[in-house]
Amino acid sequence: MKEELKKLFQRFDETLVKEVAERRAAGEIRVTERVYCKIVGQVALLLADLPFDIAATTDIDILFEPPHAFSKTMETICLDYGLTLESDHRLIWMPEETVYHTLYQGTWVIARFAEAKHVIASKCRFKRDKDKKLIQNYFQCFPESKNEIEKLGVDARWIES
Amino acid sequence: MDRILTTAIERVLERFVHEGLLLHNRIQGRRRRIRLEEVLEAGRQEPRLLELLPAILRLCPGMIARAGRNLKKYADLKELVENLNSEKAPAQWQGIPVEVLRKHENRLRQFWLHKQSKNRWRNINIRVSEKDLEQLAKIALQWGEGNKSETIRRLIANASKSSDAA
Repeated sequence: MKEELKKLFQRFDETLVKEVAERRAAGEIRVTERVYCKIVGQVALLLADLPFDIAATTDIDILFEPPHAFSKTMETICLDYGLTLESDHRLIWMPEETVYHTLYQGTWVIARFAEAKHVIASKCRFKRDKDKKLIQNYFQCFPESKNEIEKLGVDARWIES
Repeated sequence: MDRILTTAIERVLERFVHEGLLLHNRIQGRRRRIRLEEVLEAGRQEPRLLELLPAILRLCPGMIARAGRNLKKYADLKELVENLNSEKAPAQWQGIPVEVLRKHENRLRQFWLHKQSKNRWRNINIRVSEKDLEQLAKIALQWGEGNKSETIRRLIANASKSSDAA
């Protein structure tokens, strides 16, 4: 999974390299800042090497900085890799304290994925039934994380109900 | 032996991974023969399977053995599959809101359309002058097209329309 996603972001980076060169040659508005892609949600858990089974549907949640930077381009590239992109910031919530680990660093693109604990905190906030078993498995493997998540202001005990 | 050792849920997951519908950190994709009852049973342990099921039954029912025949045994699922995008659709199925089920159907349709269209596209090398290339870039700018391939496709479509009209 990691290798496939690295190739995906590499292709995104190569596309931006070409795009920047073409814009420069055409005298258009220049791209001056790097694009940060933060992978969150279930795919971030797949990348985290957790010691239990994780399944994910093929929609990948990515927060772009700057927001919506080339997300249309990325949407098409994701389809080539069998993924559908979810990049609406209004539908994605992550704690401010979220730690990200680097997956890929290119010329214009830096891709990072969220730490598993913070993804679990996000899932605790949304309280979806489909995530209950996953969260229970996580707390069984990492019991200390329950208190840490509670400190982020999220109710981690709703799964006990 | 392999068939006996693999549980039903693993077979279902293997097939879904094989079809590119699901990602998994341990299970590899295999083209397993799966039945509707097995998917419903496996869905109790992995709810994401149930999120995808109505879309599969509408867009690719052949993936599940005897889906058409066995669907009759599940009246609520049958009703959902028939009415997913209409007002008659129930508000939820198995605790999953109908909006989520519709979202998955749209995404699957988009993915399969993209896959089919990609297979029909070809890359070609053509020889053009520098002037032609500049002209193509200007047209692309005027039309607000993202790239030269898109501009060429649009030029071909316009020329086809004109010749059909003539």
